[in-house]
Amino acid sequence: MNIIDKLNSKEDMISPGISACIGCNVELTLRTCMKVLGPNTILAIPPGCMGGVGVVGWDMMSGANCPVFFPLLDNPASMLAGIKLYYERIGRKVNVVAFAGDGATVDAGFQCLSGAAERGDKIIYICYDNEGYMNTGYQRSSATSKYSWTSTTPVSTEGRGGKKEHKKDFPMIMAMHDIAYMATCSPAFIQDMVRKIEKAMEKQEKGLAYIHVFNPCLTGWGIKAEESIEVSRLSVETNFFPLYEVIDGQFKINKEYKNPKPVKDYLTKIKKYSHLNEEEIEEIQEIVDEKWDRLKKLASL
Amino acid sequence: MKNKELLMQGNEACVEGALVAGMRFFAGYPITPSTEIAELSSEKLPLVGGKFIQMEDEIASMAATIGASLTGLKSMTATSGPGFSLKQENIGYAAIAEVPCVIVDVQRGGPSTGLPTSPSQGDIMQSKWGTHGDHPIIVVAPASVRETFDLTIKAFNFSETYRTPVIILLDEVIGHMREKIELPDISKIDIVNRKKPLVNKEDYLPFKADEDLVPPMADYGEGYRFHVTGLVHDETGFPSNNPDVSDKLIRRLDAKIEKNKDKIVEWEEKNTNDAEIIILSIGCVSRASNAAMKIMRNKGIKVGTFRPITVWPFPEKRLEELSQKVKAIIVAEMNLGQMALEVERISKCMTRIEKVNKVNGEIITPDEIIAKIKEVL
Repeated sequence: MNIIDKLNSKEDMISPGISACIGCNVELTLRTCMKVLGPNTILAIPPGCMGGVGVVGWDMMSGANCPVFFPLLDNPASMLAGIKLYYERIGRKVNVVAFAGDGATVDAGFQCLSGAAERGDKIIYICYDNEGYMNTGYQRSSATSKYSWTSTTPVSTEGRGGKKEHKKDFPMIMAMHDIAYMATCSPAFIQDMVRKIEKAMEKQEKGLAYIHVFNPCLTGWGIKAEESIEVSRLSVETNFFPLYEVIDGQFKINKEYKNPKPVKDYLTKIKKYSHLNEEEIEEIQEIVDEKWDRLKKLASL
Repeated sequence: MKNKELLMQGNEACVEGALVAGMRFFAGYPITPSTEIAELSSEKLPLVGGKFIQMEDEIASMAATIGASLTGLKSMTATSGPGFSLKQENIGYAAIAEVPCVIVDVQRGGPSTGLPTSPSQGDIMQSKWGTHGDHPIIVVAPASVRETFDLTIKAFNFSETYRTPVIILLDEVIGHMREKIELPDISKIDIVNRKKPLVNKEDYLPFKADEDLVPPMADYGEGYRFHVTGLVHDETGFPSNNPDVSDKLIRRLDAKIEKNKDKIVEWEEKNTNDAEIIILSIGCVSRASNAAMKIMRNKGIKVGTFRPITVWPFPEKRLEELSQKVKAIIVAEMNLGQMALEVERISKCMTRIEKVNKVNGEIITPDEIIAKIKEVL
């Protein structure tokens, strides 16, 4: 069965009427993931875009069509750990899943996620990384990439500034926890995403499965709504956000391009980088190349 | 010459006041309805040689604020209910280690995530007792944009004078409301800087208080031996299990605010001379109280208002005096009666205490207060 038919055959676990921005690729990601995960799922959506747009529901008829709750920004993995331990005790198999933004994952919620990873809690944790705190108007997070404008990393009238540090390499950090499964995903590669969610469902029996989805944010970053998927695809085609997975410690690159596009092609589509000069673009290219080389080495082990 | 008139938000006025007070460090984390304070600090602090840093969570931003203050920088952080809860352990640390710092809490509906975009006054008790153990704290509650500017400066001055954390209790209405304000002549504003040690480096005892019960404070890195701990400590700053040391420290910390209460406590009262009924409220609610008072005065009913500007310490003496004169005090607050508890304690049953409470995320209206006045009459 091809991917379109496969997804069509599955129940949409999220009701219509979600108030995400036009063209939001996080909504697409969530709907896709939830179709694969299915109704035997308990879902945690902490504060963030998806909590704010009504995925947890506004009433008994809207939102996710499965048990869903709204934990705090800093505790999704711990709350889910408690839930999963109960289900393990009574011997019932159920997907216990977090769908959390990067602030809740790489910043405030990191401690509890790291604890869950170390303990091998059998949960699936999906992070939608849109590089910042969008629900409060786009402040930087440690997932924000270098030189990005955000409302707390301003750009001066001379066009200098933005964030000084590059994004925390969170997929790599999670992989180094030696968890059961780690994968990166993009909304531009749905087939890859579906396969990885299925893999996470299989591997969760052994411990924590972590999925990191890179979701360029139209409203916060300044991307045209119709270019939502194109920009997402460019992030992969330029190696800015490589698609790879780590199964039982073995790294595997899923999309490899003989001639990756220059990172400039990606950056120039996005308003938050509009102040960048050639040197800064070159610097980001170097960061991307270095990280890609490291990934290649890990995949060759 | 008339000073420049500006249109600004309470949150903006807080940053402007902080800069005038000498704030040179801000550590924050995004949270509605306080985020503008962090955003504006990120723009303005670098322009005056200060440092803005966004931390990975609320706890870290409180801790960084303490760290920066130890190096001698006037430091501030801002948050709202959930973040204020997370910061509490560190606020206790600042209290026992006597680290001056300012914490802005733009109150929103709680508990927990509550009502992120709606006002509340539910943190009145938390601002005093949020962290465990007996500890000193000063809490101020502005009721307008201009007063937010003024009280932010005072908050820094108090924190520097008494080496203590000071909390600015804003609420979503005051934080987000825009008003025309005229800023005062900056050169005429009193700015207090912390007392520095006057002794030789080898003789310095970082927690040996002067007569005012406040020890002089050296900057970290200045060359003075300076141990900082959340444990009970003696005058050297090193931990001690000696019961006498513990008793002396905790009592001194408490006394440095208690004994200076008259210099700290501030309130505003209107038409209290002949008032039979007093409406007591803080922050945004006091604006409704004043409106209710005007309406009732026009009808010939003798109503006055009383507004604690420092919530902690509470303007106890004056309220006690008024309690002896008036027929009733109506405590209007956007919680289920936190401040009323304090008013009941102070008034010692000398007058009737009535409550107007609201916890639905909407501001108390003059009509709701008037309805209560009519009940009392």
